[in-house]
Amino acid sequence: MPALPQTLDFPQTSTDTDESLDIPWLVTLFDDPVNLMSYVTMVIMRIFGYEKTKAEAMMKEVHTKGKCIVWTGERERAELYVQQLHSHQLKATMSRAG
Amino acid sequence: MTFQYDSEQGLRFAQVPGDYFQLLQQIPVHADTSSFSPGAQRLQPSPITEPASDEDDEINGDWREHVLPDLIEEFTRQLDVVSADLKAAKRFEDRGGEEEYEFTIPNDHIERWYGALNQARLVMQERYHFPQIDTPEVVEALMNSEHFGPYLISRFYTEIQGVLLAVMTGSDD
Repeated sequence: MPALPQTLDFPQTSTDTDESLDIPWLVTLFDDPVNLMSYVTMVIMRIFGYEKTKAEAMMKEVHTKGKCIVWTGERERAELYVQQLHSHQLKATMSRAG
Repeated sequence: MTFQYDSEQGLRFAQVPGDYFQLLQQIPVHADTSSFSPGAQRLQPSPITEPASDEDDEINGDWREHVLPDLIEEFTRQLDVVSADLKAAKRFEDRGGEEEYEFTIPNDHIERWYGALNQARLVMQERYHFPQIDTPEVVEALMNSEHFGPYLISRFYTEIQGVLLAVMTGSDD
């Protein structure tokens, strides 16, 4: 592994890339006419470790509003969570906040 | 049709009429997306539906390369488990000479059965666009459409999922 340099020269130009690293990612769960409500609650609890009341509230928001942001944070974990939601056949996406 | 859960043996189905048994055998057929791309898109969606940057494209590309194969493998395994459990079913004849079946879903297959039924229902929903409200009026209208048969099959699968889910969540509902 290469050693870190003693001094770092940051470019003075665009900082878009650096800023984008700070923007959190949203995991959004969408309603569908197939998945049973108690199943959706169970999956939310299992994947995110939420209490039943919180998971049920999210499930109800999905059901009534069509979607719900179920998690916010760094990209890698967002990818993992979407993967887990898809493996349970729930409709979910990830997107940048803002 | 009866079912009984045993924490060691699993979920035992008995007195399953031949017609119902055939519907269960058709789960992999209804879940098949090989010639139905909307079904495949529903079961295998990209994590970012409207990519707007190179990073988004990279995420979707990585997904197709690294995640999707595992997802497809798991979904295939779910269907294989259903087929294998049904292959092991015992066939009987009731007093009237009608065929009946008996089979057990082992504990470690229960979630895969649920997933297989979900696949079938999701693909059927994409194919037939069943109404989301099943009021008597809506069902009556469905009865006169060619989608009524698939609708009843999907409802039957939902009932079985309810039984499986009760086991999965430890609920007595």
